[in-house]
Amino acid sequence: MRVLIADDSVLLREGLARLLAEGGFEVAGQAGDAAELLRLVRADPPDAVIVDVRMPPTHTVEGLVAAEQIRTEYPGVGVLVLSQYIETHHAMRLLGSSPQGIGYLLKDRVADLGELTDALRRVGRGGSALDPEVVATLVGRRRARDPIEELTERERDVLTLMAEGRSNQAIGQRLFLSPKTVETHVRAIFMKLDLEEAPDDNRRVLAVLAFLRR
Amino acid sequence: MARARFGTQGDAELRITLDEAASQAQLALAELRAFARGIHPAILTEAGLGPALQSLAERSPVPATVGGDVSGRLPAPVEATAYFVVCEALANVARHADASAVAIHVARVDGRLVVEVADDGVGGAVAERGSGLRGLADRVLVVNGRFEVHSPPGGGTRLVAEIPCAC
Repeated sequence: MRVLIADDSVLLREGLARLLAEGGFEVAGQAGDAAELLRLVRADPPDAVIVDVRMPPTHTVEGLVAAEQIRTEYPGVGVLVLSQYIETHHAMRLLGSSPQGIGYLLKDRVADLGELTDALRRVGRGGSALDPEVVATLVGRRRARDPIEELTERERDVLTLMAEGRSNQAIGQRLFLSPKTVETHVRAIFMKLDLEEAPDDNRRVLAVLAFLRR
Repeated sequence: MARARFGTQGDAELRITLDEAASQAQLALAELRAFARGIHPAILTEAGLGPALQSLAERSPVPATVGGDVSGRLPAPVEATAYFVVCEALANVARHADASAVAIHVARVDGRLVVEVADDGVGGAVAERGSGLRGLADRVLVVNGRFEVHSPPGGGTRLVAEIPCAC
């Protein structure tokens, strides 16, 4: 998988490039700001980019804006956004109406190479990856009448992993469940939350997140 | 990164030390993020009052909803004061109100931003000197606003802050 890295910290960029290379990725280039990233993407679109939210010149949301631009111009390029802190608002803005090839992770996750490369692969293949902290906030949110309280603990685990953008297969591996059991849980969750079952993983993420946000 | 690089090889002692360093660093970062959120969260500057209040509501231990007109951007001091009022009010609700729900409401009325936080708890809150409510009142008065507390015993608590703004 060919990857571009954009971050204004040379140290982080180089470190990440090295780790990804060791993890079997081809690091096709590095950028220190959003303009440079867009130039590299347009010159030779990669499979995925990793982009920091804060970059020069204003160090606010340059990375988010660049991510949206890449998604519009090159829907086939996966975009994994890293951020120093995590906000549901930004997550939903990024996922938009089609959470395909998009990820939003806390920057701290780079400390866990397995998590990072897993998310990058998912995003590069057109899936989604939402940071566990966003999902934990949404699932843990206190509600006046809370249908989530009707879920069993296991169903809540499955819901959380679904919201992070994981497939049934990945959920099964995480929780040591057979694919059939995962499917049963998913059906039960959608019934209890009164949601229509979604035909694919990406639309499933949207349905679940829309429910968790309301 | 050092952990990822040396984690699978090298001696066990090094691995344990690196693991500890990594988890300490992550804990410190998480605490710092939570602390910064209470002072002036980035989401307020980046996205405005609506998303920032929504973010507070999502983290409130008492179920909270956000209603009214929270769209668009306002002058930064107005947004900051409104955010601070709601942040403190929600903390008070969680600490003292014994409430089952709290409603945040925002409206723009005649050049003022009116922010209301109402819970269904035990009431009886007073803005005494040194209390959190007094601090809130001061913060609103600084921007020439008005601050009221309605909190009859047993009748819930309703805070109303009116902040002047050209909006």
